[in-house]
Amino acid sequence: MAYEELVRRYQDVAVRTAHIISPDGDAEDAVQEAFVKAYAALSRFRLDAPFRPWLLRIVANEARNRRRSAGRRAGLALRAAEDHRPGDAAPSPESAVLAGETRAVLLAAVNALRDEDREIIGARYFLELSETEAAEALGLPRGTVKSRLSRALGRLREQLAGMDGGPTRD
Amino acid sequence: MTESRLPLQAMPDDALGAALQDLGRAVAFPTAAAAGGPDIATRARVRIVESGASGTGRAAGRGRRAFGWRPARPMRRGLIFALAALLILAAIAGAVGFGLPGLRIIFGPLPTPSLSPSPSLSASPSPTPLVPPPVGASLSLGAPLPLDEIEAEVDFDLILPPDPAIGPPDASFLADERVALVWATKPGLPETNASGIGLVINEFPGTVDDGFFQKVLTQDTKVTPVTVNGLEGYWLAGAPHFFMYVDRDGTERFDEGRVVGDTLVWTSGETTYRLESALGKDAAIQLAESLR
Repeated sequence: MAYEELVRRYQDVAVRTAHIISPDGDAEDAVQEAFVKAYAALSRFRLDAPFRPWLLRIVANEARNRRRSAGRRAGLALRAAEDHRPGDAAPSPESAVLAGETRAVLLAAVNALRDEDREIIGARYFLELSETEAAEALGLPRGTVKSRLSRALGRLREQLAGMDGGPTRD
Repeated sequence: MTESRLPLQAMPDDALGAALQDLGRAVAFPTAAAAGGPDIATRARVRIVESGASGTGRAAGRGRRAFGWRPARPMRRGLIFALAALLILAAIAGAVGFGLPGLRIIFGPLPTPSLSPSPSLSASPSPTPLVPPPVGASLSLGAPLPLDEIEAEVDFDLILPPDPAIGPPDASFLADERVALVWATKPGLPETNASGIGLVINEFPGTVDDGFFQKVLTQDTKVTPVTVNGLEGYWLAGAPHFFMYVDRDGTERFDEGRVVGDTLVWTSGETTYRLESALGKDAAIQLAESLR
């Protein structure tokens, strides 16, 4: 089926999007549901709009639905060092910008942010979406991404300052 | 990196952003394809197909018409939808920036029998058939059937190229009411994007509403209005496209068949024709106008 081939191109970024938005939800289930809904909504897809952020927005909404029903909060986690997946540009430990423990601190700070801050940081830095794509995928007014990101980084710094050097809570 | 020595909270936005990017590559994300199992795209397709087969949604109220009788309006709507979807998907191909190879890349140069097993292969009586599968069997065009059986099956007249140099189709397929005729590459029929395939002609009942069609001709997908024997048609070149149609029960379906080349679409009476080739526009129209 042609549609299957089309969405296969985006399923990895889709599942990451869902995981960032709802780290404790079932990302795969959210994406599958989103792909089915996007198929039904395909006739409403605007001709002059790019497809990927349109699809990701449906994914994001599905993931948010699951977030509300999720109780406990474990948050995003670091991959085990030996855990490599095809397609990942996994940097070798030597070339990594951050030391492992610094990463753990930074991720703990990201996890401590409220949802909207984690979403915009995740969209821009983890998924590496453009500002325009991030706005569409997260359902934000186009002009607000930069300022929201800046505020989110500010709150991230506050989190980091609060946990400065001390043990992370998660 | 000097900035990694700075405390994270003291980093300017750029450096903190770079640190977050680095962090992103180390985050444990779930994957779309469980080891050994079907990926999400496959599972979504299965659900879509199942929901279509069970007659949910729009199809539910309609379905049980007397077999062989088709009301004109739904069919008209169906084809409008099919053509609109075709252009929408062509636009998607452009919008995601695949460039000229476009969605043809998705299909790749070789058939992927694991996605949709060809009926001709699964119907083979022997696991090692002595005769190779018919030309175009890998294109998922439908069930392979002899031409005379197809003509008996459908309630419109098939038209064929009278040119003896082209001759009868090398293979013919039927999917619902959609007929696909396939010719192998030969002198006068240069190879399309599908290896060994020189020409594919689809014929199926339906009409084009050109008023609607004009409205969606706004994108840089190369869609050119043309005439075929004085009838309105469209030439779709460069931008590869998917094809969508509405089946007898009113269910919207993606065409399983691969698009193999530049496409000429036109309608005559209640039948729509789709001709895919590597002939170029003028020769394709000439061939279309010769069909009898």
